[in-house]
Amino acid sequence: MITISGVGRSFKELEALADITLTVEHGEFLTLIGRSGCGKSTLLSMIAGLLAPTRGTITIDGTPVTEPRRDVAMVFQQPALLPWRSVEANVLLPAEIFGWNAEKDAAQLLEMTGLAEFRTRRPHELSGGMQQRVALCRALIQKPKVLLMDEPFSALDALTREELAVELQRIHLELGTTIVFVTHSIQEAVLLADRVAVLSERPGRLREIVPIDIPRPRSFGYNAHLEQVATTSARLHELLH
Amino acid sequence: MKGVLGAAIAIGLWWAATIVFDIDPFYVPSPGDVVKTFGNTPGFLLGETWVTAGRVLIGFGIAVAGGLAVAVALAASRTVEQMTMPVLAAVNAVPKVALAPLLLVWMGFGNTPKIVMVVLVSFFPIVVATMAGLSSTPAELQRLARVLKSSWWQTFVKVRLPWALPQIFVGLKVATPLAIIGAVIGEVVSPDRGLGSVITGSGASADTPMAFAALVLLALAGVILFYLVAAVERLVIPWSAAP
Repeated sequence: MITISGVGRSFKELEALADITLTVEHGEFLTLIGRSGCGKSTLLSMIAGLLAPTRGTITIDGTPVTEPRRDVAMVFQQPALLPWRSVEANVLLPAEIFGWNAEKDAAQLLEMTGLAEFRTRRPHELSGGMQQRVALCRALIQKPKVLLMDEPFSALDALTREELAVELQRIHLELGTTIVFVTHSIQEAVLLADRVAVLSERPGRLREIVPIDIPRPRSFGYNAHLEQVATTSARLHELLH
Repeated sequence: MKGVLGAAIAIGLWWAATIVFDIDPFYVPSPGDVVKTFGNTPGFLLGETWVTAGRVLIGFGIAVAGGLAVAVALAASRTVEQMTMPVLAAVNAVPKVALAPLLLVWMGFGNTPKIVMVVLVSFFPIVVATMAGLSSTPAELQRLARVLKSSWWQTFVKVRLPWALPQIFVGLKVATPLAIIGAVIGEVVSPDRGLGSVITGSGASADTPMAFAALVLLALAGVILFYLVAAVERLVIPWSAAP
């Protein structure tokens, strides 16, 4: 469980984020949504322990976050793969740094994300979507309790985004990892989230937390809950404008 | 293959120019004259080439080892790196050629001043390129290393150094012709043996074909050394050969 209480962050005079109080439950998929510069990535960096809050505290399972933890993994907007390593060796990087033996886990994760046959390829031989899948496997090899995702699909084309979002939903259902997912796509938020936290413009404040009660698995195509999807999307749209 | 063809065309043009413009072989000998000279004294010229090549290789080896070590040490800390970068740029701008007479005063004749000159001219491009490469790690990879709490050494070996390799090789390729130039300068300033000394000697005795033969051998040595470095590069960083 992640508890964020009274957290604010300023960069010199600039107040990026003000007074955020929020709890993320075990196994929950929480989406942070807001316009550019609202501090949603800043909040994610603070949960990751990369950045200290100027006010308030963040705890994960009761322990205050002061530095990065092995059970908290992160996926960035860029895949950030090492070009000289094969897909498999890229996935194994965290295990190597931690001194873990994780070849089996890597094979399993690559199987799960459909990358098994590309195991020995180098990143430049893969499409953008596949590279981001490798980055996801690299995060999952940490066996994280919490997975932090910073606009992970925003550099991809629309079709690949949808494909990866559906896949992420499946992985979340399968592994039950707590996920905090930053995006500015309403569509992604509605597809993926249990709850959507909407941030206001700078300084970012929590405007509202919108629960998404649409049953899973959800999909982008035609489904039985179109009306619910439309109402929720409209509500989020309203909150962002 | 195309490179060989290019070289053949260049030699052909040189030959054609000596014939068409009827150039006195005393000033510019034709490729034929040069080959003839080489044929007359093959053992001598090869021996002198070997002397120069030895100086180049020893000096270049020292410059590579020293340059890499210094660059890594300087890049260990951001502060040290920012402090030394301008100093390095300034030292790099000093014409090392002008130091040749001083080296003669300090070290006398023989191998040492020539090798030192090779080291001086080829050391700085290697240091500068390596430091630039080591400080060019993309922000997202630095962030990844921080999230994983990777130690300085782990980050260096697994991320920064491999990332810097392509730039390090740019530095090595810049340094190879400089290494040869350094050796020749050393030999011209205090001639004893080596192709630089041959050129100085043939200038004194007006033996232009001999000087040209030495120049051709120097050019050949430069090409060979360059392709050696390129071959090592392809071996060490196969991923950069890809687009």
